[in-house]
Amino acid sequence: MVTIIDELKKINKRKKIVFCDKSYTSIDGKTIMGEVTFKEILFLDYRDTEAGSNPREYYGLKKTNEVILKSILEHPDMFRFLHSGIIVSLSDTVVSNDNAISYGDCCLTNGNQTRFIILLLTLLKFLVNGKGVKDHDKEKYANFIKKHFRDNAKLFTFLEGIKYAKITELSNFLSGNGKYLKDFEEINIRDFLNNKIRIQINILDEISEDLEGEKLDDYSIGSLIAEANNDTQNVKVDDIFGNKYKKELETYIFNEFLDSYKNTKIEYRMGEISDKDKVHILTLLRPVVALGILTKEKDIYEYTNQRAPVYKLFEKLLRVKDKAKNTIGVVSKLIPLLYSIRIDCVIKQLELQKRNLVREYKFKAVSGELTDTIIDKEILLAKGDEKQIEKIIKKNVNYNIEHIIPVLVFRIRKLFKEADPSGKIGLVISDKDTNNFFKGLIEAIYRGYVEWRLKGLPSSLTTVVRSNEFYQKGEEAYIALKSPYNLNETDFIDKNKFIVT
Amino acid sequence: MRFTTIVRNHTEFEEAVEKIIQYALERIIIEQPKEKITVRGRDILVDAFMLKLCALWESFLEKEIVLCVSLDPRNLIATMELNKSKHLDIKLIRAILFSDKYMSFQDINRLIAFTKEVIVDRYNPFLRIHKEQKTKIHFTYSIRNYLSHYSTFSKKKLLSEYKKVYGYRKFLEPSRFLLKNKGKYFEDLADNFKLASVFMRKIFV
Repeated sequence: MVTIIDELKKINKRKKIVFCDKSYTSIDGKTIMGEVTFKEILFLDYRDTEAGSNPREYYGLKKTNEVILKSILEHPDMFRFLHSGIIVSLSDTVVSNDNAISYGDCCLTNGNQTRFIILLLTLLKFLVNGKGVKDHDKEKYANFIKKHFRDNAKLFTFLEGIKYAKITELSNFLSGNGKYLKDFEEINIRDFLNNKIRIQINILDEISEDLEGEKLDDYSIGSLIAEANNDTQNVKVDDIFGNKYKKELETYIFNEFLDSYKNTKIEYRMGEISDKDKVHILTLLRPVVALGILTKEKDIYEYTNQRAPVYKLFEKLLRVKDKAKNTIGVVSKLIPLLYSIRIDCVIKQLELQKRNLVREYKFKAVSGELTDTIIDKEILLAKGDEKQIEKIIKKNVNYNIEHIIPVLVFRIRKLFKEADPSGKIGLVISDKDTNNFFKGLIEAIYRGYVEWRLKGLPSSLTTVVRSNEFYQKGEEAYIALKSPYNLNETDFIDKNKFIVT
Repeated sequence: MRFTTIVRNHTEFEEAVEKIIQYALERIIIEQPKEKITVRGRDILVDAFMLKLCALWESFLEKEIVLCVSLDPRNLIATMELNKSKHLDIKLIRAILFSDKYMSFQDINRLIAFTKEVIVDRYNPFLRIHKEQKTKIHFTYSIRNYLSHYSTFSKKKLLSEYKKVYGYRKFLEPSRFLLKNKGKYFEDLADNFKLASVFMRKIFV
């Protein structure tokens, strides 16, 4: 096993695509086609490379991927005839001879699903190492990649980014399908990795030469190809947006954040960063919408809790960035402030309040005080079993922070002010009062959220958290807290508003 | 004697316990105060909270026993071989039960056995405390005894309880144990007093 892994690491390191035999090169040198072995494609880059960025992540064993998996397992040696193969874009290429091509950067634009299936099969084979297909766990996987790939930072990060659930999904599929399990068990990993797949290569240097004057660099061309290749496919809206606007977001929207949170990495694509200290773009953008600085009041409720409208809004904002310069500047300053509220106040308060609410409702449950809630029958069936009762309560007291934060931000939107001549933005609440103020407000919103859920929601939770009514949670607490803390509302947000249409 | 006085004894106790839990969670477990507390400071505080919880429990029990006996003192009269015609008010009951000797509430099973001798079953809330609650109270008192004496015996006893109740093999200082998993054990043991009280007071509603 070690020899094969070393070979795979070497292949990745050499940044060269080696064909099985001869390849075809178009006369203009822009396209090269041929066949490569599975082991050549296992770790090809696909995300955020200089050769472009593929917006489509591996989405698991859904319909088509299951068909591909079955096909690989049944006829690995026939795979190249049964499927169209993969497409990659390469930059800074040097064609060394007929059967090899060196490159600076690579982007796997088509066939990422196939590659992941082959990679997951390989990893699973290594992990179980002759034992039962389910003989692995998260820790074993972590130890495996640590043991064999720690010396290669790039591959280590790549493998760390693979969700363990995807490996479990594969082993569950195999254990439930005897025929394919047998195929899997019979795989000789060396033979398997020597199976062939067809490959088409776009030579970006050659392509970009024809496009001079169009201000398209290798990255843009590569991404254009990748996005077009995946246009009709199922790509997450988050990944498309993050992929496309990364540079502009960094320059105009997240510039202040990046300055304030130097150690926190922004995740433009779900799962692209394995560091713990990371934040996804939606986490930063969503609260801005709740401020109402970009939309009409009536749109706040609906937009905030949906991903696509949030992205659409920022996409449009970036399109009119010259016209909305002032608002964009304010938004970029608000983002680190809103993030600090989330980290310093909301997360801790919600954790604390959750524990308090679990105890409170457990207490009410054993006291027989939950008869008017939807969990009444479940509690009765638990017959006083404290552990069971706690389980029922926890399920219902649970929260989604993304439901609470927008409401909190919406409530405090009149408390922002230009804090100092340098233009830094702050809150009108004094430092010493901040904690208690947020504590009171978060408790009121969260409590309302739980009470509402326990009474029974009129429709799905997702619909409810997008309603005007939900945004009114905490209003009473806000009014009650405003006066003892001497809070004077401001028109700062209104003054800097830019309605994106 | 009305049930409301007994129920008030419960609610006051439950509120006092809840305040300690909330304070501990907020100050030393979840919310980091701006002036950060040291690990040593946290250890001292959580130990102190445990001792205070036990003190509150004992004070609650003492009152509870007196109030429950007063509802129907026949068992007390029989056990103490008192004059049947004597009217026993609360003050007198307290004097008979607690004035001339130290009553230890450390062993929950012995406590319940004692209540059976002095409280009639109909008004005995201690019979409502269920097995798991008793186990936890017993465990809490192993911690309390170790913290009060630091004796070899109390340490040995606590280690044996760690093994029995939580499957731990090594001895842990109580604060280390109580603060594990973001204070989960502390919260659970403290909350157990509250829940025991809720189960007990059901007899009066």
